[in-house]
Amino acid sequence: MSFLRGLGRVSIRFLQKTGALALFFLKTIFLALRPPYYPREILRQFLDIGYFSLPVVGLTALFSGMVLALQSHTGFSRFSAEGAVATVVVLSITRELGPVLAGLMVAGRVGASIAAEVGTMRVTEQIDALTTLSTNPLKYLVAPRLLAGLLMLPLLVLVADIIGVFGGYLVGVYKLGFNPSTYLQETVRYLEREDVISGLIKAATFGVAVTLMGSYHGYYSKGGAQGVGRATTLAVVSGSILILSLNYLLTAILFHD
Amino acid sequence: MTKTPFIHLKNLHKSFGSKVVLKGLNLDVKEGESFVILGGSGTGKSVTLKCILGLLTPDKGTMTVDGVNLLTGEPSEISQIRDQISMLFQGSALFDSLPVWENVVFKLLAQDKIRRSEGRSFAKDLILQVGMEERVLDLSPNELSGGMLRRVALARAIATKPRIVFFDEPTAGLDPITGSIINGLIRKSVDHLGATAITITHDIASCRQIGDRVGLLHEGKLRWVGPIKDMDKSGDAAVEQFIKGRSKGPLTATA
Ligand SMILES: Nc1ncnc2c1ncn2[C@@H]1O[C@H](COP(=O)(O)OP(=O)(O)OP(=O)(O)O)[C@@H](O)[C@H]1O
Ligand SMILES: [Mg+2]
Repeated sequence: MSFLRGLGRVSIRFLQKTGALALFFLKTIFLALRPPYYPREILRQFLDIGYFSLPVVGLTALFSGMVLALQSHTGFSRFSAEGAVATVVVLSITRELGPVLAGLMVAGRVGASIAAEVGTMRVTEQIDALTTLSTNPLKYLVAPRLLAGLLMLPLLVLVADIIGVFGGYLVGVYKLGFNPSTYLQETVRYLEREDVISGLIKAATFGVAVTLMGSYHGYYSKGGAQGVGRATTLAVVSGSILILSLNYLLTAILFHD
Repeated sequence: MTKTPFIHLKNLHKSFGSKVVLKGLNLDVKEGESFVILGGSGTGKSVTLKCILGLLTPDKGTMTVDGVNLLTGEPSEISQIRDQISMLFQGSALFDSLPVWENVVFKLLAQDKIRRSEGRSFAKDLILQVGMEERVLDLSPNELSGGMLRRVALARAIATKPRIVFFDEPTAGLDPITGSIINGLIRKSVDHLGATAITITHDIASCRQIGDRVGLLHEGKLRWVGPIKDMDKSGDAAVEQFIKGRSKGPLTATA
């Protein structure tokens, strides 16, 4: 009996949180659609989330591409299929690793900083101040961040795809002794447009997920510096989990055939 | 028709979970008056102002400002009233992502009352008015001292020429001299605007300098209300205790 009650309580809490999150998300979208738009804020977020994430995402992609080439070579050489290395690298990067790794890195970098910034604004009453200055905080703070996540993550992932493939190329050519032009030919030979596009759709979804988690936890943080710290942790953890679970869901939907 | 007071709070209740903060608070402020709320830490002074501003919703009670009921009135009328209220927050609450000048004219820019290109010079006038130099205009709020923050926050609060201004502990954490300067500026700007002001403080000196009338918030209600000049002969044990800063008496520290 008490087990059931506990289960019930947990489920209700979960539903409440999900409902609150959905409401937060929908309200922000609804508000974002009507003017005023805040181009300066949007631009600042584009820079913050897109441009300044480039180094982290680029490095991650580079090493992932390199290690992928190395590992797949080891594996495929056991049944003399070394020729497939370039194809495996490009498909894994564009379809899975590019979006997921970029998403996770951005969840760590951007999700955390959004939660910390918005959370600090909450506990120092800056969000209250916005309201008294005729500015809707969801519209001014949250909407630009969500938009930046939506648009910047695909761009980041596109860059990550290129750098990741380049990493594989470096290892393939300089360590595993592939012929450069053969490697490049093999790279594009089996690559289809959907491979890249599906990765970019994933990226856009992850971008919204990460910035939403950061904003939501920051917005509702309370209890001073400790509360902001907790919001930051929650933003990164929930953002990462959301990315991994959405990734499965999207893979199942996008590649159902 | 008997005119209801300009700001009229009646039987206001507010709790957070099991913590009861306001228990039937009544407050009347006349137009153009400067009212001071005294009270210990955690007695609900900020909560009261936040209810009027719509940042918190009271559990029970009525609030009217200039004849508009803030809980049951027309949404457009309510937002029109709230648009005329400025607030200087307890910790200044300046936006640290923006330079000082954008903070000062934030609302004017948000409402398209001025163009961006005019903003800086508009802010400059206000910054000079609150006794600061032009060079702070381009600084970030986290480069300012506590006293300067309060001045900028004051400039931001009066930039829109509000009819009603709230000051939440404008001198907390300042040395007595800076505090007295800020109080002077507050009094001057409120008089200049002809605004109605509510100031929260636990600083008796600041209370005497700013206020026309004063009330002591205690256990969720205004316990004693009267003109500043009667404060010393209030005959109320709690008020006396607060003025003298004694630890023994009807007031007990809650925080
Ligand atoms: N958003 C909130 N959620 C939960 N509790 C709150 C909230 N805001 C205020 N409180 C509680 O209400 C009480 C009164 O808070 P308030 O900020 O009004 O105090 P105050 O009188 O302004 O004190 P101080 O002089 O320290 O600023 C406090 O105990 C505080 O913990
Ligand atoms: Mg307070």
